[in-house]
Amino acid sequence: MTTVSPDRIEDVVAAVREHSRVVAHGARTKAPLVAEEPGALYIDTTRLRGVVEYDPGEFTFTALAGTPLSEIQALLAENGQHLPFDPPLACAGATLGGTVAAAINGSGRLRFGGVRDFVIGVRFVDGTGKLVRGGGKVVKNAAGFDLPKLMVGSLGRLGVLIELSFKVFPAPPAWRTIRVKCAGVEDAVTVMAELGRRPFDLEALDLEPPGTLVLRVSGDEAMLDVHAARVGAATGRPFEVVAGADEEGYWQGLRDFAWAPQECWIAKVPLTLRRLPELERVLAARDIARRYAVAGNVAWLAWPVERPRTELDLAGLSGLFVRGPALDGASPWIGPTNVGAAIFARRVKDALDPDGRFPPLVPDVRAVSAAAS
Amino acid sequence: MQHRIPIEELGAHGRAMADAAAMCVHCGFCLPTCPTYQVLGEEMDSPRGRIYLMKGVLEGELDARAVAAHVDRCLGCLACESACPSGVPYHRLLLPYRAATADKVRHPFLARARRRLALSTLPYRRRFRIAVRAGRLTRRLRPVVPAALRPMLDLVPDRLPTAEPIPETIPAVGARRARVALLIGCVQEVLEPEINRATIDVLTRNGVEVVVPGGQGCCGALGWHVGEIDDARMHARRLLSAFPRDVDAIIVNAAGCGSGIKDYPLMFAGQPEEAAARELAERAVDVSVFLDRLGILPPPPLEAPLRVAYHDACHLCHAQQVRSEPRRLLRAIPGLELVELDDGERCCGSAGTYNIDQPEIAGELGRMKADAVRRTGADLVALGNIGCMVQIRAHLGANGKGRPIPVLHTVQVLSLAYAGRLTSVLPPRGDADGDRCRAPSPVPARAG
Amino acid sequence: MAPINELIRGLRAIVPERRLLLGRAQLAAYESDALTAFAVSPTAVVLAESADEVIRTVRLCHDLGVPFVPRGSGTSLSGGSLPIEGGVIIALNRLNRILELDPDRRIAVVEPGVINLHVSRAAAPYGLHYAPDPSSQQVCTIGGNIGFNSGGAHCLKYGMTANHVLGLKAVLATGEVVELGGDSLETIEPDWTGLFVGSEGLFGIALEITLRLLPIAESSYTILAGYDTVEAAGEAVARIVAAGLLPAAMEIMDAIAIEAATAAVHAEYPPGAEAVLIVELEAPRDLLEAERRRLDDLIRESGAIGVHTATSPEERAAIWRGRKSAFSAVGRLSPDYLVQDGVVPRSRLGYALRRIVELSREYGLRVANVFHAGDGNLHPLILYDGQREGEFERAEALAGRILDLCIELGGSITGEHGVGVEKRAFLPRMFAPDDVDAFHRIRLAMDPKQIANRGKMFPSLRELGAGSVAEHPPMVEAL
Repeated sequence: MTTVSPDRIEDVVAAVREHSRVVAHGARTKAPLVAEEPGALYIDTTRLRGVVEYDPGEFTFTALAGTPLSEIQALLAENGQHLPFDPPLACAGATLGGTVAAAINGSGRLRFGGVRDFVIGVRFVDGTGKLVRGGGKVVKNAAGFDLPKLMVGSLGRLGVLIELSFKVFPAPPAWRTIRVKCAGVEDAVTVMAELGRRPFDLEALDLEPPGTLVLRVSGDEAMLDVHAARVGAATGRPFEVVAGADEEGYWQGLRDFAWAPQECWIAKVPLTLRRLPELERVLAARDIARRYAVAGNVAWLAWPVERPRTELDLAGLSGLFVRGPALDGASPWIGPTNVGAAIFARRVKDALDPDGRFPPLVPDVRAVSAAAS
Repeated sequence: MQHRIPIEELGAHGRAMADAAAMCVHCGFCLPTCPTYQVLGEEMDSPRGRIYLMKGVLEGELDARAVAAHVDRCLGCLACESACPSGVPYHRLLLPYRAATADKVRHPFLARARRRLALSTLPYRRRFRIAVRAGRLTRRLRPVVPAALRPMLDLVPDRLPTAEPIPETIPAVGARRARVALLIGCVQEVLEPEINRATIDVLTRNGVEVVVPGGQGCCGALGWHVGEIDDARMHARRLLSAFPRDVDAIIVNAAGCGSGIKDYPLMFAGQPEEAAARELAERAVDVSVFLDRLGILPPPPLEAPLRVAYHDACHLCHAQQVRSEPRRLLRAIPGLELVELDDGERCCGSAGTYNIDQPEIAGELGRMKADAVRRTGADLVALGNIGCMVQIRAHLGANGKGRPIPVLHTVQVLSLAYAGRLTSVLPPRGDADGDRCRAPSPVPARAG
Repeated sequence: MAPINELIRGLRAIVPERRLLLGRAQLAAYESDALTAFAVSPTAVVLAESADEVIRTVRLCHDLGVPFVPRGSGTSLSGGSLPIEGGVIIALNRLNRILELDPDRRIAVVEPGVINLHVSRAAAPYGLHYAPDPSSQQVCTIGGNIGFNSGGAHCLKYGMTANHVLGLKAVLATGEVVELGGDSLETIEPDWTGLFVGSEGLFGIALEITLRLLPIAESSYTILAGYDTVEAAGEAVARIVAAGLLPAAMEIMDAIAIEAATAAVHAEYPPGAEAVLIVELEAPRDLLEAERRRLDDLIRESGAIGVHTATSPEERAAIWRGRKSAFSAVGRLSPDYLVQDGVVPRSRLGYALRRIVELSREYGLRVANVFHAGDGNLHPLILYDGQREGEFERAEALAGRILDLCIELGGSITGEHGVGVEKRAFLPRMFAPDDVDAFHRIRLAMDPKQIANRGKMFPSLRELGAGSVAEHPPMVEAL
């Protein structure tokens, strides 16, 4: 396996042009997502780093894809700003590009949105070796196709990310966490559904199975306790409000996936409240470490490395292994592929990577789209 | 919007039509408020589309006959004018356009016959009475009557009320605060004479002397709204000289007539009567506006609470922008709960002779209005236009659905409230004779 | 292209006669949308009533190589639903059903003809609403919003259309039906839905759209402040943003726009104000007070000459009615106008406005300014009289200079109206040839025959070779 670590954009472009198979990666904090392609050139983008532009008054920044999240977050924090999609794995060294390519959001994305809702511009090298720009550096932009959004979740299969522009928000002055004791999963789902309709501006709404809801609110210190107490009382269940270092520590732990045992793969499973009870039944039966976030829109689970991955049953849902040991060429996807999107996906892939320089989107998407047409 | 309308070739109305078309910026804000767009869902039957098409005809780009069906379907309700942010005075394009193209468009024979029949009976009280009686006889022959004429038959009432003739002057009760002339209208005086009597009652109780000049006829609005401008002017000319000068206002209690008279300056643009027309239009005022400005004596409290739904007649709320005055008058009655109708400003389908000319659309709109009324759980509907009264009564009573709901003019409600007899208007529980419900005549106010 | 007879025969097999418009007058009504500078008569208009009819029409068009243009309410300000000569308009306004509304998952699944505001109306009983609020929301359709990634005053805090679409089902120009995304906020594939939204109808037609609903804000605080210069209003915005407040909306209107809105809806503005700033805060009840006080202080320090505070929902609605009617209300001041939609970095707003004043003098045309100050999205309204010789051409040239200014300042040629017909000549000025080429490759992959909304977004060949000043885009165009 040959790896190069360019620190200039033109070297990345050259590397793509000169090789017929290319796999790009960042800090490999999400190793299962780095494709195994024997004979491919691996491009390590971690030296392609640095914040290129940042005007705190504009609430936007542009940075090279290999920039560590931690560097960006420190810079933003100095100016009272933050990334509203709450990306995990900053401490583990995750890069901005890797976060975008993997579409990994934290629990705090509930209020304002995920990576896709904050990325405003992208430069990437496409499969023909061209350096392409989409979007721009301003927060409102309807010109051209939305390539920045397309790149979110593209896992290096549509292009090598070079530079990204983001919009950011002011960082809230203070936080409170509210822990709510529900009777069980069904009860928790009921409470989540009701909370979701209330105008409480929840920053996070997680579920620690079987029945503990963990909420987060933010705002000015003065009335925050009153607000938090009101939110807790609105659930009609026993609750407690937490503040201070422990409060921050809890959420930081989540960003590091501290709840997951060592020696496991962590999988992300997109979800809705409707399917949550079903998934919970299946996972609970297998005694798998798990938690639910974003008001039941995602499940995170930890699958022990010694168990065969084929045994992982997601009750018919689809998932993606995002963290853990490398998969040795196996697909990181779990469960059924999205057949409905296959034709569309195939066409975008053919347009941006006609020669197949980058890894395939989903294994045998060609066969899938042939079956669907 | 850019246009190439040859204004000079279009006579006195050219400028009005061109200016209206020019103001339209094609933004489409009128579409959701247009009843025909809501029902038919196509651009040609929306105000924006009609403006574009009429402009095309006036420019010589489009054939008036190709556009006629869409222009005919316009209710003239002017909901678009209320919605338009650019302030396009749509009626200043529509009505002169209809007049200008009337002779270019040859409607089918039966439609023309129907139009002739309507215009030669409705404006003439005696003829209209005769026609109604004949209609009642002809009703049995409905199946053999051509479809185009059936809607007229369907609107004929079962019986015509009788009423004492109105004296020329009715003095105020107590100290005189004002003196007005009353337009008694044509169709209204035949189908629901109580409206005029209630008008007089409420005015006189509030210290207003009412003069009812003889020789009044139709105001011409019926013909004006459908493009029969010669017919309209003929009726309007008579009215121009019918009213005395020494009155504070000319009271109109039918929204259709009020809006028609407000259009007199446009109707007579470039004509010798233009100045007189403008003068009359300025002196005319809807009865609700006059009473609201005057300040009425508080009516006594109702014997029992009453829920009343107020229906906005298009020619009051859109054409004359009169909305709050009738509501304030009704709310002045203690014990009266005023409720709003869903989509309250949407036309009921009456629109002059529309329910005769376009029965399917009118029927759909009438049904929607009746459903909205029933949804409020109201005991009674109040409104300010005879055409709406006929249409809404017909649709509330249709299929004998639900309990009967009386429909009254705002002044009838006030008059009955003053007499302490409003609640007696309600049918006893179990009475299924919906549209046969008629208001009892108001007790005439005592003179002196 | 196939002969017209074959097209009409094929269309007759899909919709009944009364929903297939072929007559000259009927077609004329569909000649343009809210960009009235251009009018093209289509060959036919199909008033579709079902997704099936839309799919069959697209497939027929594809088989015969006939271009088609989807149309909602025809309110596009960039010519997005301008017909193509020889092409078919597929009217979607009758596909207006809300198929599902789930308050637990907080989603609504709608057909493309559903009016934007109707989604919020349907969600209101559950305490929810659909956040993107273009000024035309009482008439524009979700399908149109999808095509152009529409914004609105409240997208400063809540995002644009794309941020509220979780998934959609669409028929591609080649006739296949695809399903992108789903009903979850999270995904494990590239953001296909995000690529489709804002693709200006060049990929195909959305048939079912899953929208995200948000809780209706509990309490709001809306103020309208008058300033004696636009720059002062812009300065106030910069202070508010720098203070770390995140208002739900921040809008500025200049003197001409104020004049129009006053005439149109009798809005009330502080006397003598050359510019007004509208700021709206939304927060849970207990948290609003602190924000409100901060805002009041900032406004006071900003030198406002008059401040109205909305003390009731009616007053709040009245303030917004003035702002939302401003575009169309300008129709009272001038027979014609061009609405622009440029974006500049917020810090350059003052400079951009000064330049616009200079340019308007240079071209001898008045320019009204309404804009989403919070995100630097300008809407200059160039007033002109098409009856006067050369005025339209001058207006277009001025429009081009303003777009160049936005590009020069590192902004965008369109914030929310899309490129459409109007600005297609500028796409290559904002993006490099390799960028436009990538867009083109994607477009050709979706629509090899280029029949879906042909003539939109991409410049014509003639425009590519035209040089730096935008020429009047020809109305009949094949790439």
